[in-house]
Amino acid sequence: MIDFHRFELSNGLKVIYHKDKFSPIAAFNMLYDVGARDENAHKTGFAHLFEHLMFGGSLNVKDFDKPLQFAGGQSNAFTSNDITNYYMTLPSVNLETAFWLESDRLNMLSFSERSLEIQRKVVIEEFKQRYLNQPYGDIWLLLRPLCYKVHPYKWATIGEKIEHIEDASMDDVKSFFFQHYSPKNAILSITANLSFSTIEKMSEKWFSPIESRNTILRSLPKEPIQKKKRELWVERDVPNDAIYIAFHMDARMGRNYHCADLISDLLSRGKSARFYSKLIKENPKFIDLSAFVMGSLDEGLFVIAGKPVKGVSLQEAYQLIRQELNCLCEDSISKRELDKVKNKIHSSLTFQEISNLNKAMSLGYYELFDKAESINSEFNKYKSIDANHLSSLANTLFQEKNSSVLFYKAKNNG
Amino acid sequence: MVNRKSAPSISELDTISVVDPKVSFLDNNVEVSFFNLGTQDVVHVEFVFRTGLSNHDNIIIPTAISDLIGVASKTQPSGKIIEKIDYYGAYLETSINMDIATVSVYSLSEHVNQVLEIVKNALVETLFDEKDVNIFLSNAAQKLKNDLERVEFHCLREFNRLIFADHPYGNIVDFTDFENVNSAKLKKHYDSFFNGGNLFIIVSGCFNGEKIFQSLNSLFGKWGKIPSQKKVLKLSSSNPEKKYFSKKGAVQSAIRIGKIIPVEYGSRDYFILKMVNTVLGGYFGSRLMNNLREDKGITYGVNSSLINYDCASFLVIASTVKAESTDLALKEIYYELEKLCSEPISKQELKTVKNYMSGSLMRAIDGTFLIAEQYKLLNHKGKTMTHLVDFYKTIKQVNSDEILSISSKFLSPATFSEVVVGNKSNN
Repeated sequence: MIDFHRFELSNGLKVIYHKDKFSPIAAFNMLYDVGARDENAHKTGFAHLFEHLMFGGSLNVKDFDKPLQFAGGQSNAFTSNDITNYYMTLPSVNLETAFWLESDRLNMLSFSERSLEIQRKVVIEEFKQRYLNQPYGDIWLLLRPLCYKVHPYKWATIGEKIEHIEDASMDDVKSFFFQHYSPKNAILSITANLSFSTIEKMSEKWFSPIESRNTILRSLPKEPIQKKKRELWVERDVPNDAIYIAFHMDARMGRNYHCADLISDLLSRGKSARFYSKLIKENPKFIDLSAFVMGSLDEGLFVIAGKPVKGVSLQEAYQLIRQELNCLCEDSISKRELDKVKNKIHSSLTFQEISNLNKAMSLGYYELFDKAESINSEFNKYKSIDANHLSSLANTLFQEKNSSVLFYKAKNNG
Repeated sequence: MVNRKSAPSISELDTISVVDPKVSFLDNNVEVSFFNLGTQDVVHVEFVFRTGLSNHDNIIIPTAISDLIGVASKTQPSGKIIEKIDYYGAYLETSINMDIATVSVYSLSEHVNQVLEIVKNALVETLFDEKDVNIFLSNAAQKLKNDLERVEFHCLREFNRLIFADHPYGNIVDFTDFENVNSAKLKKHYDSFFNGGNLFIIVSGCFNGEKIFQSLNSLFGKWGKIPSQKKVLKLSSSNPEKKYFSKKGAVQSAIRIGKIIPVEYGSRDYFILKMVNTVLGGYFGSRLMNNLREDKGITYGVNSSLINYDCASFLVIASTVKAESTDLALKEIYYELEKLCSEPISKQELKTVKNYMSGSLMRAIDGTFLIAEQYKLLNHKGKTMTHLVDFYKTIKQVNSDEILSISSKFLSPATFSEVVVGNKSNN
């Protein structure tokens, strides 16, 4: 149970505050409702590049990190297809430094040409390090456009290709800032050991003078229902074959999200889960085999990823996975197995309430897609799911026509 | 109007407060330390065995043991133990590094005693099923093949081989190591090193201390006390060497530059060296990050670390850089080392590093689980929590002369070894 206060400034910034009496460290989290899905299809990777530029100086602060480090703090950020999230942790006594820094870069960036030039290069190296210079690194660059034909989830947050990052101009940076970075497009969530009135005062002082900008309203094309199974075969210089199967599923707020998440746990959460116990151990056909949900804010994906052992062909691997999915569709699930995955979720949700940064991030995220209060009733949504619901969802979810399969073949592998 | 031009004033704490655990001993003299400071009803019980990867000629044996703990026992067939632990919503995690192996149990407080009973069965009645061992071996060999495709992994491996040479730390996995491994060999090593004679336990979270102690004592209080036979071979610096491994087609090169440093863990020199490391590459604002990333844009990240193993401390700089800029990156890394050894650090930079490190130390002991994590490392090295207070005090006291003298004593560029894996000419 996480209790918190919530208020909104006149410019639309929402603030959520959780008092943590036991920690001398404060967490300060700023979430912007903008992600890779909001990018222009010819300028992909931009939301993430922009995140880098947010550290390149603002109107009154030349260097974002230095003053924060001076105050004993540290910061980082991440961009997803849905959101851009910036966070800092620092001693509670120095929390005002975080307000100063975060408000100044929302107020106005310095739009430094040099920062743009350097960060373009840094992001290109990040692109290479994570996606090009790693075995299997390009899997998501292939799988996304296979699953999504229309919706901007078809490109990865890093971008569709390096050229898009090379081409990013200062005009792009400016228009992105004014279109998306507004107080009303942001949620500030804080955990600290300070009084609520102190937080209110600091929020007013640093954030309320910032103008509310006219951000553009999101209107994304809906991905049409998939009617036919899709396949993509590629060959790469990797040591082992790999297979990815993705099924379209509900968005994070959708009716069946939690049930799909439970199914992924039944299949692959831990060594007693079905994939491990059956296909890695009992009948060793895979080195790795996992299932997970993407949890995206628009309609998402249920993904199965595996690497078959030598001697098991990709076709055979596909059939083995299908058989496992069919068991879920056809046989009823025992109470013990269902209780097991629910207990596991219960404890993992409880463990997530320990770190103050985790709490701040989660409060902001729940506030964005639903309301912060929902964090305290999340487990109930899993608890009420029964075996019938599970198998009926499995039956619709795992239809072959709803699947996209990436066969990733190792060169010279028989 | 709010004044955005100048930074809000900041406060500094003169010291940090640390908490010592409450310590009890099981009947077989196994030390159990309790940090009952949690605010959520969860518990972490960690079994720490003083035996690591370096404690066997074939690194695969301790690796396999760590991976297979909890899979089977004399009374439970393969897979049954983990199913029971999962049923309680608990987690069993194992890890192993050069010097220690740990078995961690995370559980909701209400179930911890039942879960510990299952864990007892897993640890005390351990059995290695031949089929499980074979699956582990073939999957691990395949994973090694995957890892070797990554320039970072390849570089790490060659670097360890280079600086640790004949010492067990330099004992790198090779495909031949997977041959002749079987359950009997695992069992023999397990029985010698994984038992009450080689163990301490840390309990952290929010729990009924008396009850957990009773549970632990009845479950583990009679567990064999065989004296540890571990050899500790001290390591000294070797002659610096440079190695380049070409990987055709790589768009980035992995770099490791480092050396063994003869410095005693927890000494004043050690603490100052920690600060020097932070200046060099230990945080986002470090000199290497500023130079290679924020000024030249030739890498996504670069860092340096001061690492302490039981037999040696060493400092290592690591980065993955744009292939065409490999030589430039090397030149700049040596330039930064040279600068550390020849120019005094500015007051402003030193102050930033001091404040940053003070904050980091506070973060490192923020909450009962993190406190227990720090204590684990300290207890293994025979230190107490006051080590952290001493570290904090040293951070506050050190001046730029000491930074310079420690740098020039230990970090002269010519004394470093270097491994590069990648594609200097980018073809």
